[in-house]
Amino acid sequence: MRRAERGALPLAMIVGATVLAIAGAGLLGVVLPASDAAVGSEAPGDARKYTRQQVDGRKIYVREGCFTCHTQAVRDTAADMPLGRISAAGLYLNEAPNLIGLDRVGPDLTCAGERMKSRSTTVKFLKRPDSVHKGSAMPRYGFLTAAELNALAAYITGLTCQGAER
Amino acid sequence: MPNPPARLPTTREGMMRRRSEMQAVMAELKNRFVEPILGRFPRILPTKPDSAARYALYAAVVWFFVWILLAATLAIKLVFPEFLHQFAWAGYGRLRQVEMNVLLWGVLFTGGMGAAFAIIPRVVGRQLWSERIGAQLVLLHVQLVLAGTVLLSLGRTQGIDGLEWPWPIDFGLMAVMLGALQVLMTTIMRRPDKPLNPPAKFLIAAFHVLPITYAVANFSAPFTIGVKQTFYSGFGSAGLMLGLSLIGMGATLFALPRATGNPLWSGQVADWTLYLMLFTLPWLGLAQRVLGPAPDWTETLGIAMALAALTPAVFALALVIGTARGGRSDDPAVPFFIGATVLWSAGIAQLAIGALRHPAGILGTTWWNEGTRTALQGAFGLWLIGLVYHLIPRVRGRALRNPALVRAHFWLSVSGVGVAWIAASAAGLIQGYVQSVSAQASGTFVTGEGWNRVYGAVRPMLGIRMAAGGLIVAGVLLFLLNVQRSLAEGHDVEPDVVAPALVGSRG
Repeated sequence: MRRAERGALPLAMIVGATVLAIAGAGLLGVVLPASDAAVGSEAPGDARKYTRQQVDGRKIYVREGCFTCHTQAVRDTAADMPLGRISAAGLYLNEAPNLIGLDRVGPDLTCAGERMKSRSTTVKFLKRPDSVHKGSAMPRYGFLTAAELNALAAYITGLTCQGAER
Repeated sequence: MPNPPARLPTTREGMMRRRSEMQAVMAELKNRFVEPILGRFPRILPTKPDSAARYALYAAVVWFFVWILLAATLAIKLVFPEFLHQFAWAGYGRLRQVEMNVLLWGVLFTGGMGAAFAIIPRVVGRQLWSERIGAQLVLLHVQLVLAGTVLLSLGRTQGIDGLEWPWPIDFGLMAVMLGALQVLMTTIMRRPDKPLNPPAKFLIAAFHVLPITYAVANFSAPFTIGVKQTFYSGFGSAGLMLGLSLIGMGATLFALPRATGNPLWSGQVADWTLYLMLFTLPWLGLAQRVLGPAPDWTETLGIAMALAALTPAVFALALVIGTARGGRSDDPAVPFFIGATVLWSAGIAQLAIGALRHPAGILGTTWWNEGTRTALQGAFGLWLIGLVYHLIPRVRGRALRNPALVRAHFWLSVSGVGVAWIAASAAGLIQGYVQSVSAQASGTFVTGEGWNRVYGAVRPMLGIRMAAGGLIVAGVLLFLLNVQRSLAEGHDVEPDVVAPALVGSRG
């Protein structure tokens, strides 16, 4: 019998090792971090609070998949210094989904409200980005209704760094 | 001499006899009443060997074409944002989620099911337990991905990275994964020989990993808030990557010895590769968010595991190159398996580099991440294409019509994926550099109008990436043409149904 066949482990061993590996990773890499006080109710930083219109705007933000291009986390790195204060876990305590994101095709929006204070300019930007920022690569959102644009602008202009530091 | 008294049957023997009688009655009822009805629908309830595998591989090929259209649209929109801007369903954010999920679930998981349904019967020497259930699972899966695609296009998303499907689709996908696991495990349990070949081990592990990690991530993340959610979603993404990697390696270890005529380089290295993949890759979700709001110790754990994942990547390379070296070269699928494994190993290495704290400070959240995804997803795609080319003559009994077209497809795919990978990674380096320099100077590039400077710097790379997509599209068109013509006009060859794989060791 060839070595590979002779040394083959029985089915139960493969299934057992798989379950053990996944359970270990799930327990130590998911459950344990999720139960860390640093990401729970005692997390540093203040949670964001939203008005009803901002909540509606946030739903539109999720619906249109804005989180695929914009992150909402100022990282603890030199490159992120101009964005605002470093984001702490407490900032996200009211956030589901958390919209932290992975990729910046567009700029980070954690503290967008501190840069985009005017709601009407933000609406104008969303309808036709290059009319506000020449050469912008952001797609137009002119297909949104006026109410939806207002709600989305209310959400974006309400994103501030207050209480975000860790 | 008096006869010895007849021994009374034991309780166990009595139970076994009653069970046999019951099974005979059920079989009789099934043959008399159920089969005539089921037999009326031979297309959706097939019984011929390899039916389920063929359905899955055909579906994966069709989804592959759909994905190419979506990816090309996104690549164009990145360079020309006005393209299709008036349609809500074609908004970049919605389309991006559709594209990613069509690739992962429509193309790669469907192809993975096809691979498992074709490979497992061959390596264990038994026909698939139920072609009908397998085919039904494929049909259900296709409908679920189609429904999910429509729902995401309509903006019905969960809004969690990697877990975007709406929850009804999650339940359906869980049913498909568990059903596939049942079909495969029952087939394996009926094997005549106890030892398992390496391809079977990889596939068994994959079809356990996928439903477990999917269930943990998708049925927990929506009920968590804040940073906690990222641990669950990261686990789901890493689990999916691990599952697809195991399927890809399983397919390679199945096909390569057959295609080259060489035995597997080392069964022990194959086992070690499997176990190392299982024990390192599920942690990689933690490595994706270094320097973020999660506790430092979780990031350290993720970085350590990302570095540890380099070991199975090196083992996989050694295994594939060692097996292919000096073998026959008449099967045009071989370069796809080698190219896929090289790309996969490179993707793991790139992920590890991007996870280290210092590089992460520059490359994190940039196009570098997309470069990593391009390498890994490109590897999964090449594995799938290689498998389709390798399996068509075997499951369909038709020779490939034009091997020269397969070679052309290989070079178009490898150069397309390779250039797209390098362009995206280079875009990440440029983006990271511009952001860092800006931070040290005035800090005006990372926000508002200044962001256009970042976009302007990476735009040439995005243009190159779009052109590379053109090479991939050209390759896929050759692939579809060749597969269609081979199925329609290829000369007949002897299909192999349950021949055992060539597995052994040179040592």
